[in-house]
Amino acid sequence: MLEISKYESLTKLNLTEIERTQIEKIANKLIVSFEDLREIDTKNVEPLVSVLVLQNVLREDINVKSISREELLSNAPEQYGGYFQVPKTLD
Amino acid sequence: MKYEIVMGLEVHVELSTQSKLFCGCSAKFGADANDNVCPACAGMPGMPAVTNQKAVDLGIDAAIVTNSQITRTMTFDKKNYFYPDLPTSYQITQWFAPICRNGWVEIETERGKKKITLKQIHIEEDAGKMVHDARSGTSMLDFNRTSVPLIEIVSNPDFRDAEEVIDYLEKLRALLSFAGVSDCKMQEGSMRCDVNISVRPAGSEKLGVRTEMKNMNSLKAITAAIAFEANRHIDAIETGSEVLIQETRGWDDDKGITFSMREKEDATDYRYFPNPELMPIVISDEWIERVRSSLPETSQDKFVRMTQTLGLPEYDSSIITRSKALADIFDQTMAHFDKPKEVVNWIIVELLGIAKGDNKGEDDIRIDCRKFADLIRLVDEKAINRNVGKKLLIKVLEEDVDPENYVKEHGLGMLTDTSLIDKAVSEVLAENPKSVAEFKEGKLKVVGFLMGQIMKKMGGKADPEAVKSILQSQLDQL
Repeated sequence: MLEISKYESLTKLNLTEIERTQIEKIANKLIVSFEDLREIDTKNVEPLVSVLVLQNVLREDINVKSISREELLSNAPEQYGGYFQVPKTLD
Repeated sequence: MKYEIVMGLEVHVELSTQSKLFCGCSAKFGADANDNVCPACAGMPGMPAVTNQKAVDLGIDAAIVTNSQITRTMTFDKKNYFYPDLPTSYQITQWFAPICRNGWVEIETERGKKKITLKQIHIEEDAGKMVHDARSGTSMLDFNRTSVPLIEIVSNPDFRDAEEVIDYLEKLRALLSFAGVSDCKMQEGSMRCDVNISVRPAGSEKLGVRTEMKNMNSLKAITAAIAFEANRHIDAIETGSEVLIQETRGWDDDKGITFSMREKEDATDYRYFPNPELMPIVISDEWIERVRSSLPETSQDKFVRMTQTLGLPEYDSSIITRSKALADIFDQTMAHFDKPKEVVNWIIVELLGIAKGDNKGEDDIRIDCRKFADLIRLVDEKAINRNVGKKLLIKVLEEDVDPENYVKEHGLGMLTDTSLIDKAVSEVLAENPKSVAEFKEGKLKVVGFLMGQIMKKMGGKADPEAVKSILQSQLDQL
């Protein structure tokens, strides 16, 4: 069984009681499906990071100017003096 | 009861790249807020991350200088946590296959040499900067630092006191800055250190409750934080005044205390999983060799060269080689004036003396080394005396004057004309009958005073040795 409340706090979400029940149901179904996967013998199988057969996709260390600050902030709900502004958050 | 402190360090070092880890934005420190941000590092959906090869090169450098085993197929993972300084809500880091493991760094304290073993080094992206505005009750976000490449060097819990921690950080700083991995400036945040600390009764095997301390931005702060936190743990164990819990604590430098920031998450809380957008990076022998062959002289090699080839004292050499900035000044000055002992003395006694007086760090010293070399030569050739040289050094530092021209223009050349000195000595003796009388009574102290009077009379430019010998002979004839 999944502790939904723990994941609520990790993702900083407040779920309603209905949402919580729904998600709990879906999540537990998922967990059961994954339990089935455990039966497969993967002893000699390397972990797979990507389904693409690529490696060493790298770029040179060169600066590329992309968008302007104005453009970057243009969708920000709140901004001030070049900063994104969000409700006070203290660690 | 006697207690043993057990500490492990997590050191974050910003890599010296031009651009960020997964996009082409500038990684430079000090730009205006959000000036170096693009859709990728701002976490806009659908923006692909592409790894900066230089960051991997520098990671390999770090692996080599810390004697670590390089992982031949390394991957990147997502570390999930929700906090506004991270616009993607996950940090790209290396959890399952970091760039290297099992390294070591040798430290030396009063108790001798010791190897600090490293669990691993991994490459990861930095988070953004948050400024809390009390007035408006909001937090302001600057994503310039978001995705700047870092390495995190994770040690095993091998430290037993603050002295070991400080020496390790200094060694690490020298190793990494000489290799060009990072400039390692604590005050600018390009080197940051978290200390994991626990306390146990001496002789016990079982580890105590561990807390992690953050936000110490100088070696002094680290020493103070360790002392405070160790005492807090011991108090809690002895008096039961509080119950220690595993948590992250911040350091308040003004108050000199640590304070609780948050309960420490378990690794599983971060829900690490491989980042499928980033392909595995396979590091070949050729790649490692290419990086190794282009590594500059290490601090240790330089120390050996200074002590053995150049015949300099170990103490002087260790001061020069603990800082890349000083080592560069030494090399560049030597290129213009090849007397190592003189150059080292001028750096350690004068240059560092002035920096200390100005409250400047070694890394902040800016000097034209050709001019510095010229100045040392002028003193060495007795064209000017040492005191004039010291004053001239300040002029070179502050106004970038050319030493030779300045000496000519201001007539600061050393006065060696013995008839002039002889005359000045006679005058000073005539003007100070009381001191002369004291000298006759055997008070040798007055010689220093008389020397000063003569130097003053000659505008500080006389050859002190000539003054000393002429004064001595005139006094002897009294």
